[in-house]
Amino acid sequence: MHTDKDLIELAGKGDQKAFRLLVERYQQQVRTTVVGMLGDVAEADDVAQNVFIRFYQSMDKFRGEAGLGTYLTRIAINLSLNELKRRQRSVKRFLSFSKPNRDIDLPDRSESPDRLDKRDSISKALQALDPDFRTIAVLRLVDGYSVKETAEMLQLPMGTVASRLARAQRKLKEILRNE
Amino acid sequence: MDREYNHILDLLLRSLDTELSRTETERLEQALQESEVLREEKNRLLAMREQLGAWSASDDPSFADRVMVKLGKKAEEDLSAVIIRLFPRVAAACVLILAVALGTIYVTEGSLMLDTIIGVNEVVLEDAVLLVEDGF
Repeated sequence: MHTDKDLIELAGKGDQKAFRLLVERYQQQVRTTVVGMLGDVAEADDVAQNVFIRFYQSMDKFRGEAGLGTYLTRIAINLSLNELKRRQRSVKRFLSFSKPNRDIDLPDRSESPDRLDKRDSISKALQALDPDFRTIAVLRLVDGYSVKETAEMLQLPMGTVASRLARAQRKLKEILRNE
Repeated sequence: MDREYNHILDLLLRSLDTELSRTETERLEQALQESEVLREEKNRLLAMREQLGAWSASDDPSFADRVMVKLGKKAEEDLSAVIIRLFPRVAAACVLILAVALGTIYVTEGSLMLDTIIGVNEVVLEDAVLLVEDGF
């Protein structure tokens, strides 16, 4: 089994299969972060794809100080925040914000309705948070990064992350209780 | 009472992610021992965090295919963009080279007639015959 480093090296030399293996290895992590930030919408699929395109274009800059998963998550958060800013600029886009994508990003219907409902309600609860709080909730509670790692990724003091996390959890708890 | 409860709840929330001071820990533990409501709150919070931790985007088996297709298209677009970006510079360089060449011909030959440009202005018919005879 190839390590990330091996695959990055091969992909850097133009080996498309190696890059595909990296995509397959990290797609779930990246898609979870992006869908957590943007909801299950068509734009989320585009943004998740762009995370890998962006990585491919700047692969030579990846020094491996952080793990590849962390590096990709950071790109995913940045691109998701850009997408949220773009949405805010476009009222029309904003109105289609919660419209589920029926062409590309259909959820797996083989799952039980209960599981789909739960997934949907968590996604909606996350979307109800302000982006600053949502980012922290996704990184800490969904992706499982520690407060320290989250703070480093977002370049925020740990105290700020902890207090935003506490407020985000209060709100999530309220929303999920009412679901 | 509400203020006190909120403070304890805040401690409870913080305790799940960061280390509390000794005093804060003792205060929280005491409150948890005394309050059934707070214990239930803690359980609800833990359950919610477990749900969030287990949450992930739905499976998408064709995602990697779409990324690779997009990557191919992007490479083509990038190549076109490079050509489009370089075209004015290449065109300007060609025009400059042409102008310099024509200028040099004009200065040395004193004319810009087609024969002069292609270098046959001094060739006479006899030269052509000689070339043929030499087997050129």
